[in-house]
Amino acid sequence: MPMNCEEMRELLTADYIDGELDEGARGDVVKHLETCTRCRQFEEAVRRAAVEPFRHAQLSSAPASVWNQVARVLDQDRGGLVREALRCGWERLFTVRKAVYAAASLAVVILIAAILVRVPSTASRRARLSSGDVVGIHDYMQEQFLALEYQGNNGAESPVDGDMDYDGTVSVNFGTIVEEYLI
Amino acid sequence: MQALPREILIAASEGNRSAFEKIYRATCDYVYTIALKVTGNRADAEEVTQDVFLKIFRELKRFRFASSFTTWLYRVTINSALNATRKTRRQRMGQVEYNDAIAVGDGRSATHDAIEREHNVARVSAMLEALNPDQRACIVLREIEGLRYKEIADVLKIPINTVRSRLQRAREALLAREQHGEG
Repeated sequence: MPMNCEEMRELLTADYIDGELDEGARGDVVKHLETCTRCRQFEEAVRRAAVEPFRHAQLSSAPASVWNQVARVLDQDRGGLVREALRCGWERLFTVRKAVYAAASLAVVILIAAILVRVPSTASRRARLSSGDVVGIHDYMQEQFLALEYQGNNGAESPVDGDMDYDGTVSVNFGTIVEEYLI
Repeated sequence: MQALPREILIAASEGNRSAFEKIYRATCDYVYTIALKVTGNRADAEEVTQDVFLKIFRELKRFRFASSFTTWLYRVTINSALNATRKTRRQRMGQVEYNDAIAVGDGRSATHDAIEREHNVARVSAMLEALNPDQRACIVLREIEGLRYKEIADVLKIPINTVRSRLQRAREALLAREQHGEG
């Protein structure tokens, strides 16, 4: 796309002069400069005023006194540098410890989450009991009481363990505490 | 500025003074030249150079080679030089304090080439004086250090477009300066 002189001058004060254009864009600029006298004069003026003087600039040598001063400060500051090294070591150690703490915390969170998933909450247990499981438990209880009634009537051993309380009521054992809890 | 061997950097980062001195010898003239061009005076340039190397020595142990050492060194140098420039806020319009410029006075022993070179040094310093510190930093990195736009953007931690626009404004200012007969 052909560029106007305004756009061209932006390139002439930056990308073109600094060799930052790709080959295609550079070709466009060269083509424009071949036909536009004003832009060509502008480019020459920019080079003369803002580029060429720097081309001959040389490195300046740092005075020897600078190194002497740096060395003197480093000599004076040996104690400070040792403290600095120790501080860096402590920072690294602390960084490692932080990683260990983070890993341990994560392990605890995973453990708690696993326990919560394995043991259903009281609310969900109640919800389950209020629905289909109630029927099953009801049937089971009825069966146990029938067995006790049979035992009372016949003096025979019931298939279910049962203890007679002081008031004559019967408390029924359904198994271990955990089993009772889960039921 | 050439890249330094990694083993020298590592040795210096572990507090090896000999390795650090090698780094200093290889880079001090670049650091001093940038400081001199940006601050515009020898006293500040010497102080900046000293501060840069003390900072490098202290911070090298934290250097993780995520960016190149030279980019980091340029960044520390430019930032220190800009801070020094802003801090001192010297009003030295047109005043030139460079060693080399002072040496021009002794015309008896100077050859024609030497006079020409010193004249150019004085001219460059006067040109840089005409720019604001941010433009000056970009021009020094581009014209004197020969960095690409991407490298300048990395050193100054600014977008490439900002590098481009600062260079454009700087060159327009230098062109205007010459057209007003101040070249």
